[in-house]
Amino acid sequence: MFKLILKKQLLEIGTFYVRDRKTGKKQTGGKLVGFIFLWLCVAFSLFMAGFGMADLFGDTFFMIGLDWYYFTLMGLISLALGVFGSVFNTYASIYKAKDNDLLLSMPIKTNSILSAKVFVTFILSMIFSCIFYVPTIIYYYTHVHQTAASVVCTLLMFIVLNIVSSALVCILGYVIALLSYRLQGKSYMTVIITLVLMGGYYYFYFRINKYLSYIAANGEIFAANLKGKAKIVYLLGNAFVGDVKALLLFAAIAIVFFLIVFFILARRYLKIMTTNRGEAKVEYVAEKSIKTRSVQKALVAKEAKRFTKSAVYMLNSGLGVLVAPIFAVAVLIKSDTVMKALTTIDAQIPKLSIMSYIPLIIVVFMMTLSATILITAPSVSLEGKYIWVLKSLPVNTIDILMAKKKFQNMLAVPSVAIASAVCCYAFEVSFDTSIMVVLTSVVYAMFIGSMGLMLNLLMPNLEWKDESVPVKQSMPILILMFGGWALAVAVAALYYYVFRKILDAPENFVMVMFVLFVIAGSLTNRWISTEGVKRWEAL
Amino acid sequence: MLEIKNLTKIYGDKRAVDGLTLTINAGEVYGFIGHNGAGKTTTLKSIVGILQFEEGEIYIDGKSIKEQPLECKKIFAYIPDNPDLYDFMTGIQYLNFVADVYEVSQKDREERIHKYASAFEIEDNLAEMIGAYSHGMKQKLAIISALIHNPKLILMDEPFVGLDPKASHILKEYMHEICADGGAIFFSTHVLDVAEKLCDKVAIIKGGKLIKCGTMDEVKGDESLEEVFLELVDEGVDANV
Repeated sequence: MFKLILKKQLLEIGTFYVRDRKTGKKQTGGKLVGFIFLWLCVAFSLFMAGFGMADLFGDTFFMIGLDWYYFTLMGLISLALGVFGSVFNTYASIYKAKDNDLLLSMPIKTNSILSAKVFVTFILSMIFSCIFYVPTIIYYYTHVHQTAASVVCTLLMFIVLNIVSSALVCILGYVIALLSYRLQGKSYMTVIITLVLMGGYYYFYFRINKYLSYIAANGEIFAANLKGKAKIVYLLGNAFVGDVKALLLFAAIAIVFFLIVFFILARRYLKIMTTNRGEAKVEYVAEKSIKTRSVQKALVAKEAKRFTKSAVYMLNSGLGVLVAPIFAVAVLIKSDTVMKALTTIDAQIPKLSIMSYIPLIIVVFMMTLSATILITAPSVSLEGKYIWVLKSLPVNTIDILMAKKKFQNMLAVPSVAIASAVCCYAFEVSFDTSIMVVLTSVVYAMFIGSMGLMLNLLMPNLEWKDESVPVKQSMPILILMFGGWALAVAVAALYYYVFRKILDAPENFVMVMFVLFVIAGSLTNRWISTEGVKRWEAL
Repeated sequence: MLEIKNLTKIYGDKRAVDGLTLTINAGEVYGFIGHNGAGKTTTLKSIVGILQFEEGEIYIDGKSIKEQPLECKKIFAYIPDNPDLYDFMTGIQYLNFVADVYEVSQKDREERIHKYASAFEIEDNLAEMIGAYSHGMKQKLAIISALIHNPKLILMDEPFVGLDPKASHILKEYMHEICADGGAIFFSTHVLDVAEKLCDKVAIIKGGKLIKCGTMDEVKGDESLEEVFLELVDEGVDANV
């Protein structure tokens, strides 16, 4: 039975990669090759990053005989990759699996179901951790003389490491499952956690070399501390480098840890699977809950709820709302540095007169950021199976469409206005030019909103099963985002190659842009209120 | 109250509804029966303006759904076969949204939400997300949202599917209540026993064409509705009463 379920689990993972999630059909040859190529690129870059790190640590620690410390660091990084790479799959396959009910209703032992699913976790963890572990051992084998014991130990430790990883993944998956059952405001929490992780990622990404050099430079002190205070980590490092006793002891600890986790999970598995915890109960109070609103306000509020209840929607279509002001504050903080750099360029290449371009540069940056606020672009498709509600209610189609646009503007306009104003202040742009920069940026942000709606009316997809399809993978999103960026670049190029010679100052070109965006926005709005209405009604 | 004249809806080469003509008067509970794919849902969706149709006309209280869709929609309420309600809203948020669109006053919506939600026993669940509702609870919420603006005409597609016996009983009572107040009900169903007991009139559709309609007695005579339906569907009789 174990084999049968294992086969099903592996088939499920395989299907995820070889079948189209939208249609369920087999991916075409080209798509599949592209997908494999993409994965190989990601794996290769991580693989090379692993080599780089192995080189940095190996070079330092092999010379001073701290091989075990090299393995401690690289082993822990591989372990972390294994855990984070497979935790969400584990959460989905063990705790949130759609087939749990079916499997539990069949004459199969619970332990067989669980062990097959945990075994898949183990395989996935091995796949993710080997991206770092393989360069680790290749570097080790090629730089340090090996004995049979050390080779066997490094290979066995890969398995042991992933036993620990599987246990950790099961615990983490359980925590995620508990949080997802009981947490209020899940979408906001997901957005906050994602932003914190993204912020953390970039923070470390820009400092990684500094940290790695610090670890390498102070390796002896850290190693001595670990040896004295963290025996288990010391044991882990030694187990890799041919210390059979350490290997056996660490393997025993890992297996016992895994068995404890598995035992607890096995005992609770049936309960976890058969107890529908549902959402935390919220008390209904009629006096507080029943409120009247105008039709237009009700429609905008509906769009707001659609947006705020979906982390995927917020993260993929609304990130620019937060990024624009954050960018502006960062510019304000670093304005001295930027100004110095620009002054230096100005002094070195006076002909370029870069300082005069500042208003135009701000507008181009705001255009780039506006092209990441794409709330309207999937808004028609997101009606999906719910479209009957609006179609059967006595609402004017134009009101429905305008509500979608209005909601995007409610978020995009203040965000872009504040960001552009702060940038103007940071770079000491004159007041009247600042007004023009802010207005032009805002008008462009509004144009992007109208354009997103128009594109979605032209290319709607109401047949989605997973909302990430219209939000992340649809043509309106791709066209609007890349088109928005391309337009920003085109505007800069247009000024440099054409209007620079015609207009005296870049500020004048900002004014031209303002007029052009007003015209473009008006034409788009005109299309929405005529052709767009017809297209909605034909959906 | 509802007048369907020569309604034709074509999907590609298929005539899903073919020249359907039917009149539902005020005070009538009108059943609409037919096998799967006969054209019931297409007819209902055409009436409520979800589907655009190629030929024919539909009048609601004398107003054309093509010419005056908003005026028509203010008169009726629609309950689809599969209650896909906004699962990103709570039950009460959804009811508020529908009431806002129909411009129901604060006092009226408070009274009606309390009346219907307590009758269908989901008042305690109104603060929960619709996504967490069972099929039956969604169906109850769809019914409440349909009743919230006191519609004169209710169009329902398989309204009893997923409802518990008590909720079905309450819905039937409300259907009679609405008709007694001068309203009308037009609903599709596969449950012929329910149709037989509940409806004043019934229409049978097959392959998009109306094959029989009239009062219950006219349609079934001394037989049961089930027997008549099976005979008509098997024979493909084309006989309007």
